[in-house]
Amino acid sequence: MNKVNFSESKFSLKTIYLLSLSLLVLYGTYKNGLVYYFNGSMSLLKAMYPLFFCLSSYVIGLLIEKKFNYQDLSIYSLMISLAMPYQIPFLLYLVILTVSLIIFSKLPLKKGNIIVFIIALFHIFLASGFENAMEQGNQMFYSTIEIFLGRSIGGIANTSIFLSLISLAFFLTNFYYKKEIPLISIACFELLTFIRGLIINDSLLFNHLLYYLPFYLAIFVMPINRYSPLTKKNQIIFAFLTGVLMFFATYYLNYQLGPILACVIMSLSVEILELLTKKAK
Amino acid sequence: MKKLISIKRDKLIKVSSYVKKFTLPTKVYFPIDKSVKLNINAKKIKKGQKLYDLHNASYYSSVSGELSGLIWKKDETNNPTLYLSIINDFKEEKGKLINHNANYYLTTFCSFLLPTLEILKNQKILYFNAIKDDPYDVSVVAYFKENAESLLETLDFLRNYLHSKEVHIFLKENATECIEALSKFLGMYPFISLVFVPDLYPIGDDSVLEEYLKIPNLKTLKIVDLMYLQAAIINNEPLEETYVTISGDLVDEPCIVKVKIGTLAQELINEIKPCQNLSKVWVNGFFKGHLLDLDEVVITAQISSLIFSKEETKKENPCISCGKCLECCPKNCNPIKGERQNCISCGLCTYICPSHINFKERNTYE
Repeated sequence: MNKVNFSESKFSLKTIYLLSLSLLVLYGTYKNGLVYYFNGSMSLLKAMYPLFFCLSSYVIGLLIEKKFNYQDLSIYSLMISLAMPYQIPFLLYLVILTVSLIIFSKLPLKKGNIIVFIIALFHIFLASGFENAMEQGNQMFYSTIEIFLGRSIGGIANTSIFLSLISLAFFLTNFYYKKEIPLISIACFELLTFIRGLIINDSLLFNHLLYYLPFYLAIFVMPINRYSPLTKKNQIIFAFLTGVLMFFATYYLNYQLGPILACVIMSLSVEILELLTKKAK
Repeated sequence: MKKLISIKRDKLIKVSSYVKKFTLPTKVYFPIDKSVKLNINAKKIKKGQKLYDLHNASYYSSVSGELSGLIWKKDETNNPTLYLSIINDFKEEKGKLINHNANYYLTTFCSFLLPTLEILKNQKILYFNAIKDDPYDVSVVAYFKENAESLLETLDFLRNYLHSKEVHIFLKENATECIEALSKFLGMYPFISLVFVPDLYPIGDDSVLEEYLKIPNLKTLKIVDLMYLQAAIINNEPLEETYVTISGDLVDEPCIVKVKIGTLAQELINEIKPCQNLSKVWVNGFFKGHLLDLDEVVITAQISSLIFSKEETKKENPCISCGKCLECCPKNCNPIKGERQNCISCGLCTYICPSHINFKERNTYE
């Protein structure tokens, strides 16, 4: 029976985004601050820096959202902050974020995902060399479970696959969330990574399977309604291509930047995809 | 086959099949055009008297009384319409009855249905679509309860008239009261059978039903058609009364009202008092219907529900491109781009839109 079970969800998509991202911010504050505060290597004020960093980004997004009437920009800004490395200069980040948010929100790109554009910009021009030094020293000591929980090196608060998956479960309850995009793209990426691991006999296969960035991008960034295809068929094609492209960009281009660039390319191709399917129709 | 929607009913909106009657309106109104010539010599009108012909249909007075004048109101699709008003003298005086056979009454009182009947002629099976898609519209229950026997008699007459072998009545599988009402008399009509369909939206539309049941070129008789036909064939008179569901979260006592065609909705509500201070009403439900001022609405045979809701219209927000309107459209239209060539006005796009964009009232969003 072809049937759609439509019922208005208890929480709006915006609320779920805010709750899920808040969870990640709290974990990021714990991982990048409170852990070091508890072992005495950091003051409480400094330990709260990730929280302050993300909040500032959210507030800037909120101000620009109101000023330029660009819906949900505050959430996009928060998503950008989560993907930033811990040691990025705070003031410089805020200035560049503000300028780029204004510029990108004014660009006549209908489907261009400004989140991946800005994250890519930061990573290309600013972020190299700003990895969290404290974490980098410990990277070989983390177990697979710890990596799954989020102790891997990466953005200030986007490394937890565990929390991302919890968020995904929460998102799946919402009728308006484009669930095909995260499910198919993650499945494609993981499957290809697994096959690659078997072929090259990868000793770090589990660590690669638990690479946080494809999860973060596929669950939070790529399914944003505004920047993703409208029809279900296009969403499936888009998700599949995103997963495949992320795999190749990660392992054959750049491990850190690859998934982001893959998303930039896919984001730019949404309009072309819609145009092609419309012509075919 | 496109996906159909399972509608979740709002618990605050109660419906009841309890039937009330309001057949004594002070005035009745009939849609008219300025070009229409009245077939009336005297100012005095008798009940059932032919008033005029308009758009291939003849209009008959549902009360006896006096011609009052012309007035602008809105029809059920929110379009301004000119109405002829008649003041009721409550005498219910009927014209002289001349005995004719049922065929005569059918061609006289249901002349506008003759093209439809011509299409249905010589089909092996005559289909009667008794499905009400709107979840809060139960007027059909009252109609079936009060007229089950004569309804089946009408269908049997039509079976012979149209040279069909069988009659199939389409009903939703959860329309238990309708099924119960028909089952009592169904044994007497071996050529009439019931066909059940799931409670999915908008399965009541012929084109959707055609696809679902895989019956090519499905043409059906609708409930309102049968009301006209039954009045003509069984009662030998034009349709004078109809059933209207009164419901909504503002209504304390939901019910179905049997009401004279042409009654002003405001007068009906003042009489049955389902709740205080009602000013806006959803005519024919949230999905296919329109929100109108109560004092603008005139009850016609095409109106089957009046829904009073606290949330009159939701504030429209910009489109978030979720694509649900495209996904849910049973006819593959693109409401955002205003593609409406196959639109069946089911209202699903408006209902499902998280930004509350009223696609029903606008041609395009972009």
